[in-house]
Amino acid sequence: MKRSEKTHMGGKNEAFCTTQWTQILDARTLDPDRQRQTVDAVVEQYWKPVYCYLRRKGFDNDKSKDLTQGFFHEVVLGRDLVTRAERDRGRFRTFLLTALDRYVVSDHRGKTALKRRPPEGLVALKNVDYVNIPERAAAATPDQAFAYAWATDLLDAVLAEVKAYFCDGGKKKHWDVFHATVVEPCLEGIAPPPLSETCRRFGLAGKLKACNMAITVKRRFKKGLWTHVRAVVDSDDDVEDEIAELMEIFSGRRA
Amino acid sequence: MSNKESTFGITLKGLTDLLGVGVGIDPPQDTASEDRAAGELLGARLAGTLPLDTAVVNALPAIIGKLQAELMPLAGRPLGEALLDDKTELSAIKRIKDYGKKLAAGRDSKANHSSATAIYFSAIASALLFHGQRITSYSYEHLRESFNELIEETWIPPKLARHLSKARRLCAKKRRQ
Repeated sequence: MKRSEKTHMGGKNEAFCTTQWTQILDARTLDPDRQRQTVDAVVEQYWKPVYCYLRRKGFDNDKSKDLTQGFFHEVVLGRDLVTRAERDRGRFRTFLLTALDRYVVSDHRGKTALKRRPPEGLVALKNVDYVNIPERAAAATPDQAFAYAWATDLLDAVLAEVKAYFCDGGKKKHWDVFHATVVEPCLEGIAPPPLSETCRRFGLAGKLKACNMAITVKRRFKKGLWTHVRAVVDSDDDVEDEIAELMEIFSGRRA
Repeated sequence: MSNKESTFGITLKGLTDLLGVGVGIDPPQDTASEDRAAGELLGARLAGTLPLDTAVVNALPAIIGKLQAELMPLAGRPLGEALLDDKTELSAIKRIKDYGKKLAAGRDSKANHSSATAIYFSAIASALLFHGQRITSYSYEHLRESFNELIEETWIPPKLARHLSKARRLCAKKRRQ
């Protein structure tokens, strides 16, 4: 076997990635306005997995919203997080889920401190359009529902960035080919279209051209996915493990 | 992305597939003919079944029990399926490994050798992942490097690349213990 060069996907410590831990810890040192902005950013990014978990736990919409508010205010942005972050960070997704599970138990025992929450609630959650887990994933366990919302938010963010990169860069057709041959089949649960059909649809010279365009976008997608996952894990080595773990959760091999 | 294009609503399988795109391996823009041949040959072998060992077949009357133990685990299943199934028995995986080793020893094309080596190491990966057994005298470090080299080959199918990637991580952990 020949030794080929490693696929370049960022590499160890090649780019500084602001981890989610860093963002939250930094929030405590900012002035009140910037702190509020950071808090809102964190909540906006992670409310959906938390809310979906609570709905799958059996809480109704109102109770789930209330618990989501309480969780972010008392746990994620609270003092305990700093201690945890300084001691042992680990993967942010796993930390959030473990903390959420404990919070639900505490709430059940009546131990949550409702009185400490600001009366106006968290700004970022005020105008949120709460959603239900889609029917297709309705059989999910609460942990799967959490991971589902987490992963779909992650993929939406990556796909949006990749789309913008190619469309704004004058290569919309590249994005369109990738979307038609990779994204759409996954979204619709159908087989990818034959390359000949893709060539006809987008006016391409031949199958190799279509392949190359899809691969070009795919490389960008992979890099984007790596960057986003890297922001919520401790090291470069954890990125692949995190993605593999998510895949195992959805394939049913891990609860 | 618009709501229409959001992945929220996707099936669990679709979600797994899309995540898999993020860890899969792509062929280069212009695949060299040798790599393409290795990929095609590997694909054909993975889709095929293990050939009967003619020596075993000839001795059937005397060793019916042994034959059942050796052949039933595979029972005509495609090699690729057997390699990636965690229910495949260890004895069957060992047979696949030996099959790959025998093929690789042949003095024909590079494509033949490459695809046979892939089968050989994939079987070792299966034994590690599904049975916790190292069915080779290679060290974990050697295996980690071998899996890594295979993963980087452009002609390795994505599912096999992911399988080898899991085995690579396991070997890295074992090496640190």
